[in-house]
Amino acid sequence: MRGASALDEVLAKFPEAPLKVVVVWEPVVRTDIAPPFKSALARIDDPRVSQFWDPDLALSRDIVRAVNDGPARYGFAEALPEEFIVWDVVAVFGEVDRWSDDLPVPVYYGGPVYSVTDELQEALGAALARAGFTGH
Amino acid sequence: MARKRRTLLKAVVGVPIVMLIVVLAAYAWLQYAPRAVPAGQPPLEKLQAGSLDAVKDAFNAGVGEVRLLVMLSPT
Repeated sequence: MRGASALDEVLAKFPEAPLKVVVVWEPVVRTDIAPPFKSALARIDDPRVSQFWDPDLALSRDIVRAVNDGPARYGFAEALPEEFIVWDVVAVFGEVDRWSDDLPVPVYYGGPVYSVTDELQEALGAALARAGFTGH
Repeated sequence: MARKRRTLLKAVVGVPIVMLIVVLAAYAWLQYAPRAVPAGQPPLEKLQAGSLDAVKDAFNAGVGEVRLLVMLSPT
């Protein structure tokens, strides 16, 4: 939950930026027995956000599959364990990236989200600048 | 005596049934209660049968903008 609040704080620093934010909630720890409640969803209070509930960890599995098909493409030295769960992570993508089969390669990724806010803000600013957006 | 037995039997059978109903109701509420998102956002969407189409559509709808993908645990 700290990650959600941290993300909201970073987004608030770019209130006018042309951003699309996709948040995927997934059951990872034992207490994740249900979709996120309003209290969790409300932590990311920004109209540029779309929120999803992924009870089957489908996105995590798909990312592990994509990475293991070509670890070097995503900057990994070796394949991830099949049971690896991708979570508490944020990734930034350029404005031209399109997602068809495999997740596009992000220009930045990091986690846990609450601990990478400075990096995220920097990466986001750089990506926005490359996209031609100069204001905040 | 027979009346006491009937009362005991009702309790032995009834209490677990009531408890089961309460547990099922709580589970249903946990799973299916409406989840309100902040103003301006589309409703929370559950990915169906492990399909990523909805997530990909949302991502691709932002072509021309910088995108963020964030994966979090609800608790």
